[in-house]
Amino acid sequence: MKNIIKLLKSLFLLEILKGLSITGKKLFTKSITVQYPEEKTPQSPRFRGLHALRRYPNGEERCIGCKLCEAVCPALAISIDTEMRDDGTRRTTKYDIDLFKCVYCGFCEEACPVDAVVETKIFEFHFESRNERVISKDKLLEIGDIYEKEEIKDRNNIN
Amino acid sequence: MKVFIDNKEYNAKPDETIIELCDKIGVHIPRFCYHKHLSIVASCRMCLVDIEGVKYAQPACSTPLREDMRISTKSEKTKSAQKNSMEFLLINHPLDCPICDQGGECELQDVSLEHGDDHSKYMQFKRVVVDKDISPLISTDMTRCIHCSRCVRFGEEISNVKELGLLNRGEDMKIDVFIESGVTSELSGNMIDLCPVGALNNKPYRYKARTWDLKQICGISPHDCIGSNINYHTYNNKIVRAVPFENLAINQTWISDRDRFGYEGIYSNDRLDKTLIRENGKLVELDFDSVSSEVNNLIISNIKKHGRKEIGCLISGQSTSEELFLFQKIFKGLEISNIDHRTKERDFSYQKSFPIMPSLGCNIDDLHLYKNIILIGVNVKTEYPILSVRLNNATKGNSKIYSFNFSSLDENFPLYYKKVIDDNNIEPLLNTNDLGLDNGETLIILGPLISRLPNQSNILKKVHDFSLLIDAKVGFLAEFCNSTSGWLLGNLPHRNLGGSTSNIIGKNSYEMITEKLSTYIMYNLEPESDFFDKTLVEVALKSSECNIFFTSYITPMMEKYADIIIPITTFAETDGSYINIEGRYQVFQPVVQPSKDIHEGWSILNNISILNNFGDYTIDTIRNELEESLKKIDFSLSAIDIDSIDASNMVEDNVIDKFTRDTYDTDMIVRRSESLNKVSLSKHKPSIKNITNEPKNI
Repeated sequence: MKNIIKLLKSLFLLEILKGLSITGKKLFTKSITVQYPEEKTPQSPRFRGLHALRRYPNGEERCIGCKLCEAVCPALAISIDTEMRDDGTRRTTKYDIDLFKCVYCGFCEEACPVDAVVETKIFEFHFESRNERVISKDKLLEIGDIYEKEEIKDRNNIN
Repeated sequence: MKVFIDNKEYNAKPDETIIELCDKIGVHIPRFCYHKHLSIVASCRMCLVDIEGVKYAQPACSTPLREDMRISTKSEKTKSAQKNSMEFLLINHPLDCPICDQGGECELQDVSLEHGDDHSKYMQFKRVVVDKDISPLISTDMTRCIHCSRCVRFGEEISNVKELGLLNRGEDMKIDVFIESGVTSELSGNMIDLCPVGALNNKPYRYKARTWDLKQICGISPHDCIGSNINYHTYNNKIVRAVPFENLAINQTWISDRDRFGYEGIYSNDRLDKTLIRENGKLVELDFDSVSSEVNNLIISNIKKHGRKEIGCLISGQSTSEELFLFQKIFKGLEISNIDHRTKERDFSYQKSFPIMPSLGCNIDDLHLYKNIILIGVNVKTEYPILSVRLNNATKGNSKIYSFNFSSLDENFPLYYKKVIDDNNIEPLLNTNDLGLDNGETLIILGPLISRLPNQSNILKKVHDFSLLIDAKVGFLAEFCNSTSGWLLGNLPHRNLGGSTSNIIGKNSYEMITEKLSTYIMYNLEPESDFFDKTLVEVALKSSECNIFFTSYITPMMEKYADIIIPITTFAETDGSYINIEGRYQVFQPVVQPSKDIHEGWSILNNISILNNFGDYTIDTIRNELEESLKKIDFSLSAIDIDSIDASNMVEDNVIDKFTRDTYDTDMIVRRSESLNKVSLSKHKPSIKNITNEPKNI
């Protein structure tokens, strides 16, 4: 009996019609294809892209050189040197992130006790030589300055 | 005595406390105020444990064990007691672990992870304590203090200098100094180790690295002849701090500030990092490959030109045993007998009858067994701070300590008798009735200042007579960390390796300098400060034809008179060994790598040895040969034979300018330690309170 039903189904091309009906439906629904780079998909506020170092509203850098991000980094991408600044505070003299090593896990962001190092939503960046893969403290702070407003917005969205 | 800890049976000694037994058997009990070398106060209440039959949990550090006591270190009662203590300790402790240098090795951090709660019920303001600049070596963050009073007890019991105290009571209680910048003792750095939190911390190390970044390598102190064991912590091939390595026979758990901060000298700007040779009156760089042949040619050509008697070889007692061994091997091999390491001495008529090496006469650990300890010409507090801990301990027993010194300096331990002596008048000693010596063993310790005197043979003879009279042992404290090796390995004009008498007696260091030879070879010596007289050395170097310096640091005199300067490694960058004043042979390995053109001293000497066919050595073959030669030594001959002391050859030219040995002026590395220099400056100039009228920006 089963075999007869199977035979009839294949005889009248039922499977093909069933499959084509989905294609037919999709023909008339709105497309989800995004015309990158003109169009972009929405990003989660928790998106983990390029790193940045943030500052306090008064312009003071947040990073206190505790090296917790360096310690927690599973890819050993961060290297930090610290010293005592003239005002007696602990500050970094070197804060390098090797973006080739980085796996964008976000542990650095989580470990930071002062929310200094963050991963922004930037994911489109390139290097023209291998040396550029290591981004220094100055550059990180610059990125932080540019994306500070967005960062605050994302943080509010998460909470 | 039978006790039960966590339902397991153990045997305890009478009077043993719970914490002592638990430490021995490896059961962990959290603690802050308890330290095995300090008295017990039971103030932190962290070590509370549950004892069967006792209503409340009791402190393990102060509760002695009793027969059949049943202690539970993991029961609910113990846990809740410890958790409650922890909560109180954390009330006022700031949450600044990320910037605290103690973070990662903090006892409070560890214990709160294990026994603390993840949130605090305390909602009021936290206590804030104003910091004071107490010392150039110790940074303070007194808000972090948990009042365990270890630092206070260290001052009271170990260093015997009461510098820190507990002021006020209750909420206002704080650890404070009585005088600002008042922490000046030579052992103050130990309070950094003792502090279980980050309240007292290492100032030169401040914010340089985190504890988990550091690599730890053990070394031996190169600054005094005690041979303290030190752990060097390095970060990126640079020593960032030093902490004690526990060796109960030598330094216990302490080290002196000189050992702790002396390493800074190896990063001095004076460091020489390339070989320099004089060409047409100017010092120019020389490639390392040609260094040993160049040096060898200079030596050989000068031997041919002026003869062997015109060559003076001087080596510092701070060099490693390996260097000392190869140095005498090469120059005695070349039949040069003018070789000496006693560069600060002037009177050598004692040398024939001197023991095989200067020795303390007993183990450092046994000092407390002597009833009477007579110190002559030594200020233990400043010259051998670690020994002052031992002597302080000895006075707590039955020992009486007598001091005869050239200046009236204080000691860190109670003196039974103190007298200022004249340089050539040691007569006051001979009044035994005056001294009131106890019955029992007596030890006389002669300091290095005695050896600098122009009449040291005379004094040695008198001291020896005196020691026979009162049936005492005579011990010595040496000038440099490895002076003992200098003696044992034959860096002497009159003795060979292993102390055998040499056939030809060469010139001693004093004769070498004053008789103006044609060639000087100085190894690891600073002509400005490592000799009895700077001006005489300058005259000698000026008049000589060839000066060869092996050195880690370049000094103005070297720049002026050297024909070739070869950079060598310091103690931290080489394999080596020191023999301390007890005769203990201690081996160490390089802590950091030297810069490219600096080579290990022994390897340069080895290259010269190869050129002269005296053998090719590795560090192991040197050590084997050292051991072989030291095995043969008959230490029973190590008494002064007074009859042969010829005290008539007394040198009577110039007077010694100072009768003290500054703590931070003992060797070329310490002299260049920045932090220690700050200490000596702050000691000489009492701090004036900073009064600034400028308004502060708020």
